[in-house]
Amino acid sequence: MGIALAIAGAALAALLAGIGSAMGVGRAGQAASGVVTEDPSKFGKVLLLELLPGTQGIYGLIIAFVTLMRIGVIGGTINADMSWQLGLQYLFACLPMAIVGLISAIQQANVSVSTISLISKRGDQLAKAMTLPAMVETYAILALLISFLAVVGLPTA
Amino acid sequence: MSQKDYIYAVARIRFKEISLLSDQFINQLVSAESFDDCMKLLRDKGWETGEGKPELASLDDASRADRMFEAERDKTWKQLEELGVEKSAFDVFHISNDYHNLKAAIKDTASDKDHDNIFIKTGTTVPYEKIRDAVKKKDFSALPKDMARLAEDVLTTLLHTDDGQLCDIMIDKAALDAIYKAGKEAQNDILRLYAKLTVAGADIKVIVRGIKFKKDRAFYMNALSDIDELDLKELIDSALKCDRNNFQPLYDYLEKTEFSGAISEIKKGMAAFEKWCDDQIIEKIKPELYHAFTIGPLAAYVLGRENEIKTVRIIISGKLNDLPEKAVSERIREMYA
Repeated sequence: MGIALAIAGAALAALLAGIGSAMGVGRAGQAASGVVTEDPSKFGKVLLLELLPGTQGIYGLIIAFVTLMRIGVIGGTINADMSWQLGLQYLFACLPMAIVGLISAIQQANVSVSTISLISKRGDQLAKAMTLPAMVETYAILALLISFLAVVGLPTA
Repeated sequence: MSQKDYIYAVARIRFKEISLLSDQFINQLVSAESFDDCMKLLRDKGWETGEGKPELASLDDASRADRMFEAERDKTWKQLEELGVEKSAFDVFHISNDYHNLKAAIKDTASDKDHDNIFIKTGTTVPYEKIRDAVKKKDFSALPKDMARLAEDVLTTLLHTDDGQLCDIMIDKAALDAIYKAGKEAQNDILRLYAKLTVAGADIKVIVRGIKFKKDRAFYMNALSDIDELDLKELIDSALKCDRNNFQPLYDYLEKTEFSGAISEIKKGMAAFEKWCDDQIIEKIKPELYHAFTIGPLAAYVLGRENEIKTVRIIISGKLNDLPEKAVSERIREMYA
């Protein structure tokens, strides 16, 4: 039971943050392709903005990977008798990254879509256009940090 | 189309907005020496002035300008078609063209001559040939239900009264009713706003003209579209208390509505009021320049384009008729971008 809960935590971190990033990159990609259709020379600039919501998926993957290492799924030292209390602790430790990853990726995509429009009109404003969606990234990084500290602070299985 | 499906189209429209005419460019056009200078400036902006088209060389200036406006309007709709947006989403903009075509078809039939050039051929929800043929054959089954009923009523009225003006009023009112209905059913605020301001503006125009020509209650009842934003009974009562030299009862009524801003413009004259109506729409759609997810920026772009075509038309006709620069400037609309 404990090991199942811990794996569920790792799966949620990878799954929800990954879903958020896929949706986010997809939305930003639609806007980017609109701009590139009109002005192919802006491809490089809009690509950067399109990729920003993709980072949450990577953070989710990191938390899932560290969790799986700590519980021994990676490394072959899996403990099938892990207590349900410890499994639950791993699950909760993964949740900040899972939930904040999902929401922040979608919100970051909304900002990216808007700033891609900015780039279509004012190509010289890339730095500002990058900064605005990067603000949303702060909260994904905070969630990554808290999940990481919680997972590595828990006893290994 | 769901909201997210407009992201691509809006991103492309953002780019196209760069080539919309600015207030500064419009002032440059107004100050241009002649019609030819205007056409040169517009050509440099990418407008279809007919340069290099020998078939347009034989046309007079006014016809060349008309062709340019038609081509520019077509260009807008082709751009939207390219973006994959369903044309039906913008039906509210096309309804007045359908009813114009109905009017044209009735005139065409009544005069027993072929007037193909009086029909609007693009930007309609019903193909103009369908309307023309239905009226000619007096078989309205191919037309939308509301339009079919109206066409039948108008033809009957024309037969019994021979009053062309009454028929025009019936069609104009039906067009306004249809625009208002389509606006109410629209999923977007911009489309709703356009319908509301268009119909309210038209109602107020009818009232102002009606006062000048001492029209009675029956005329107003036939001509005015009943909308939520104006209390028809109170509006007509106020109009009947007015006369050519005293519009105060109408102003008192308008003061209580959201159209109180119109009062100062009506005092200046109809041209100023018409400009106010157009500027209201442009002012209210400007926030769409910063939205990225809905059909709103696309609708705003269409309205922005229509507005600049209308403004250039005013300037060009001013140049062709040697109107003083001041008279033209007073009629210049605010630009969207």
